[in-house]
Amino acid sequence: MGALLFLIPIALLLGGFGLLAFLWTVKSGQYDDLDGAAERILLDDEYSERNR
Amino acid sequence: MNAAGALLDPQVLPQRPPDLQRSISAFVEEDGDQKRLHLLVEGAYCAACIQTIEGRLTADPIITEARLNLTLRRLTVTWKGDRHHANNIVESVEAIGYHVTPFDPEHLTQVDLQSGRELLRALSVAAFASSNIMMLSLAVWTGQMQDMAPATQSLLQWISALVTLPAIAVAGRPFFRSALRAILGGHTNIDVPVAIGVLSITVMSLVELVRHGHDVYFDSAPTLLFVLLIGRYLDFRVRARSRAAIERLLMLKAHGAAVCRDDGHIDVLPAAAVEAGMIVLVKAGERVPIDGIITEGCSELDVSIVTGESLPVSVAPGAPVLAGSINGAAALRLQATNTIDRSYLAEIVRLVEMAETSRGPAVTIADRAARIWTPIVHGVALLTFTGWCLFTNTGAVTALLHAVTVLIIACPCAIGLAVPAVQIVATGMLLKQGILLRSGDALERLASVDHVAFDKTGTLSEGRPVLVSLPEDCETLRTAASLAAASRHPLAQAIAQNAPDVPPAIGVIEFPGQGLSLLTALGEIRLGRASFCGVGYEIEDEATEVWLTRPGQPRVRFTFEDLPRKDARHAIEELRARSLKIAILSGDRKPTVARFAENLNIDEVHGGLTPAEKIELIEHWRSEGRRVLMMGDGLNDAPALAAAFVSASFTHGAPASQSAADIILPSDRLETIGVVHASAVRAIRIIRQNLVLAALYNIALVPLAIIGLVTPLGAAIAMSASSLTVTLNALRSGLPLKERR
Repeated sequence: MGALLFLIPIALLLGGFGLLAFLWTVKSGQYDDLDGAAERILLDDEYSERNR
Repeated sequence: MNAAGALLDPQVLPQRPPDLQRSISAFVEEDGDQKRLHLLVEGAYCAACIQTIEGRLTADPIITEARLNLTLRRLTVTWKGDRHHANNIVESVEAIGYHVTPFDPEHLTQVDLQSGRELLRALSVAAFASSNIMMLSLAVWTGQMQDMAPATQSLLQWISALVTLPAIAVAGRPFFRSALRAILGGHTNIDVPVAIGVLSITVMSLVELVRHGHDVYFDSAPTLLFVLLIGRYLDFRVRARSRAAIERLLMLKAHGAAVCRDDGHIDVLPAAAVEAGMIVLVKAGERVPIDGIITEGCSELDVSIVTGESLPVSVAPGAPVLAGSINGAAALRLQATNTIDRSYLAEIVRLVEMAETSRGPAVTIADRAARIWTPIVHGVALLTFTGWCLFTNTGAVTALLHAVTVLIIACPCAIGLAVPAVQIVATGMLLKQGILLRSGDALERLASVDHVAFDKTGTLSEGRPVLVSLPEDCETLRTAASLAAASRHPLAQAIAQNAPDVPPAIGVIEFPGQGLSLLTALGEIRLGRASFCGVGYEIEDEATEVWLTRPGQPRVRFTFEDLPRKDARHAIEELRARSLKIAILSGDRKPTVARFAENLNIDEVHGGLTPAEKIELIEHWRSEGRRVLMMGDGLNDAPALAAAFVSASFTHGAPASQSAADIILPSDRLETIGVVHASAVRAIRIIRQNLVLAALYNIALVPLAIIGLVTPLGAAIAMSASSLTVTLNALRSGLPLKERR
């Protein structure tokens, strides 16, 4: 019982961090072009560095 | 007559008007020193395109960022400094071979991106809540079997409640909003039972939690929302993609008008800015931007997309010209007779709007299901409540509990998924084949049609003349082709196509509206209309003809027809095999249409129709109870497309026809309508199966809920199982279609 008292909040917190991170990715427009994202992994690193 | 001739160089293609740039810098967004330009890009499909375009632009030191969105084919460029740099940007992208059009993002992008992001936000919150609560609920359910202390159980349930309440407030918003709108509008849709279900689950669970009862269903509400939101998001993506493709088609066809000023200057203005009385220059091969009267120049106009007339029309000064016609032979100057809002095009748009209002919105299967479903379920819940109150002495609270359990068990999760899941899979499959659907319910309407009405020109036919009488000896054809290859005239091109290896002769002179002439050592060779070639008589068979005269040889006659597309016969037979009746509605001359229809074995033929007459005919059919699929690509078809039960246009069609149509088929592939119809019929069959499957789960479980035997665990299993069944069944609508034998 005692373990639950801190394990459950920790689990929820960790999940919550994941949720917040996802919401941030949505906000910064990372899901606006899924086709482009799929193709961009084929581009060379030096290209994406230059284009940053 | 010689003065009208012009030496033709086959290498010179009509160029874009030189100062189109003027209109482009008007599209630049300014934010202090920062300038931003949005462009639609045609022909970008892969990583290499991203690299070429973005690489080319970022090599320019002024440009700070260039980003190509491959899903929407939109390019956003930001730079610092002069706003006229936009011209160089467009030039450098066009130089690598991509056609771009500037657009104003105010109109469309934001809505799409915003609603997509909102759905994703709701989806992620629902996913977080449902997975965490399910974890806690499983602990409670197993704990109940193994004597978990009641205090621990209630602690876990309180935590669930704390997660559920904010999650529902966020994730349920799209459903609550739509349900509220429906209720305020005095009708019901599928979101009404969803919203009622979610709210009643949550309220009842809270009450039970406070009362230390067993019926705590906190896991159900977020799971329900999670599953439905997955469907909504996928549906959104498929639709956004189709919509973006349609918008792109329309915007890429927008043309500027080259207006000749008094000082000899030529300004490119948007067609909407042209005023009556202005003189507009239209080069050979260009689309006429506005209605007008010819003041200078003789040419032939391809009006097939405007009026449905299949053969080019000769025009001379004084002749009226309609916007949308393609100038075939030589440059023309027109005086604009009307502003754009009083043009023929505007007239068509008004007819389209009228036809749309008179057609009214269609009631979709999902709405119909919701209309049957909601009253039944709520009726049964009410009966449960009164039944428990009357026949037992457990009290009103328990009775209410059982009534709400009925609502939860008859949970609309599977019903809510049944229709969109199939539409997503089916439209996604068609999208991959280049077939665009404006709305999901276009499939439903298509599946129930019983008549197909075709436009003739450009839809059933090629929309351009084809040489039908080939001369017997090869040398004659080669001579004619060597002259013809030097011209852009449709008839000349039809001749040249029959001998593609013949190079254009040097020194061909074109007499617009008359013919072509070539001086050789032996004398003059002429190719053109009868009077031009000195043929004194006319053969009375209404065929379009061109004559060839050579020194010392008999003259030769070439005749042309607008032939049916190669796949027209096949497409019509396939539709007939599905017991659909075929008719032709054409704006072309009656005898031409009749001959054409006979060729294809079509009995019901209506020729010489104006756009308004086409609407009348379709409305007459509707009053007879016919459900008509209208197919057409021309401007004159647009009102008929809007009036029909369901309609299809082509990517090569006039923009007005595309915005009026429900379905847009790939250019020059008429036979795809068979595929679309087959998959529509299959999609509707699967939707019906899905609704029955969802109902079966309810028929099995609702009686248990009425007598109070359902547990929260049972509800969770039933919901997941029914949603899964419905989704798996929906996947079948994406399978390849079986060949009909």
